[in-house]
Formats: sequence, C-alpha cells, structure tokens
Amino acid sequence: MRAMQLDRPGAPLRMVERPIPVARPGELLIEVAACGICRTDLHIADGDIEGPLPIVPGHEIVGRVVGTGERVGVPWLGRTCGHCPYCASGRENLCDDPTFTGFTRHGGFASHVVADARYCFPIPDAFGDAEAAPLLCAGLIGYRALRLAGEGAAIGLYGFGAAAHILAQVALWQGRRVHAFTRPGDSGGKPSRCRSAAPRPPIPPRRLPSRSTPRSSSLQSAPWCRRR
Amino acid sequence: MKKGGRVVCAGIHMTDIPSFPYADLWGERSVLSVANLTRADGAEFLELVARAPIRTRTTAFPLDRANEALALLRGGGIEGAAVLVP
Repeated sequence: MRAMQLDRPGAPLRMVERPIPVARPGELLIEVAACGICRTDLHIADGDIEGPLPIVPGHEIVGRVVGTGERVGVPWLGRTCGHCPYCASGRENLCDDPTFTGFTRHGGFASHVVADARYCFPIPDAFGDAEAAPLLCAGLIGYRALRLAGEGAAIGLYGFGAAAHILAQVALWQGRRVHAFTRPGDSGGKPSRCRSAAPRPPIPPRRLPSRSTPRSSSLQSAPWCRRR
Repeated sequence: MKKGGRVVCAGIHMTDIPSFPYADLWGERSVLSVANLTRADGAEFLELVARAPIRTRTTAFPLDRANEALALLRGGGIEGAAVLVP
C-alpha cells in the first residue's frame, strides 16, 4: 500500500510503501477512495497538537471494505473506551481514552486503512466518493457545532472553509439567516456558492479591527497540546 | 452578539482568546468549544444530508500531492474542501 506519512512536526509528508495491513476481529480493511483534508491535519503536521509519530494523517475517509465492497466512511473518532464517565453518560466525544483516526492511529492519506467497524458510517448514495469525504469531519463536527449554537434565527460563520460551506447550506435549509465573515483578500474562502431560498442583498464588506495574538507560553489543558 | 447568544469554537487548536470586558459576556452570552463527535452525531447528520439539498464543493488532489494541498489549505487558497484521491 501507499501512504503519505508524517515523520516529524514541520516536515513535509513522505510517500511510503508498506504491506497492506491486516484487519483484526471487529475491524475493517478499507480501500480508500477519497480522503478529505481538514484544518486538524495541518495542526498535526505543524506540531500544534502532538500524537505518536510517525503517523499517516487523514480522518475524512470514504472507501470500500475489501471483500464485501460496501462503501463506508471513517471519521475522526476511531474508538472510545466505553466505560469512562463520559462514555457511560452518552458523551463519548469526551472519552478519557479515545483513539483518533489519522492522529493516534493511521488514517486515510493512503491507499488502504484499517478501522474499527463500530465507528464507521454508511455513506448516503447521493454523494460521490470525493463529495462525501468532507461530510465526515467538516460536515459532521460542524453540525455538532451548529447544534450547540442553539436555535437562533441568525448564524454567523467566522471563516468560510470546508465546514462553513456545508453548514451554511444546512442553516439556510433550516430557515435561518446566515452571515459569513472572511478576511480581506481571502478569495478561495469566499462564500460564493451559497444560495438562500429567499436571497437577501449582501451587506457591504466592512473591515473589522483585528489584533494579532501572541501564542501562549502557559500550559495547555488539552492532553495533546505541546508544553511550551 | 445578542443576549443569550453563543460563540461556538469548533477547532481542535486555536490561538489564545484575548481578554474582553465582562459586560460583553453578561446577558447569558457564552463561549464554548466543540470536541470530536459522537456516533449519534454522525448518524443524525448523515441522515440529514441524505434528505436535505446539501452539496459539497471539492478540489481533488492525487495522494502524492498531499503537501501541495496542505500548503494551499494553509494559505486559504481552497474553495470548499480539499480531497486526496489515491
């Protein structure tokens, strides 16, 4: 199999060839059809968050199970312990001993990947392989964020990347007003493809005051954050 | 932001949040982060996108051009989502 591997933070990913992994009981061997690139992959590559190395990043995986051909999606949450207080209370996203795809186990920047079958999803037929990939994190965790934002009639999206371009459609479909904020000159991230059921005239761009914030030298609370 | 409004931060890593007047938070405004996902989130969202008119816009790169795709993403030069295809 081929994989793009991170050997150390800040280094470019390196193409490696290795034997196709073997799925253990409860796991699926998947031939990768597409894998989305997420901002988190950049944080892993840059060493902003630290996990075991070397690692193959990628956690927005769409592929087919070797043997059955079934199409599945593999998300960031690769496994949870199932018994910590968070898992026991329906909050497995906060598991004390989780496995994360493409961070603490090899991910989908590869021709093949092995995943725990219990954490894989079927993919809706309406989406092609590449089109479905960003649903797995940008869409899915973005949707969690949208839900936590509450029932407000107006939603502001700060930055307009992969998550926002999906969430804007969801929020409009829900009948909300959507406002997007992008940086001047951010041509790639302009929300040009959004359509509202009842289009409103865009608000003219306005430059907001910005401050550059120095990085902290204090201890971070997240366990994978680099101690500076 | 209106009273009762929420700022939801969905990134795993961000720069520090600058201090701001408590008056800006008062009125039951809140700031919270989102961490990871539950399988229930995934099932709910994928069910939603199957019946809602949601489409994604992607830019495909071959697997061996992953570094180029990462650099473009870092610079904000990708419209929609970048996807690697082996």
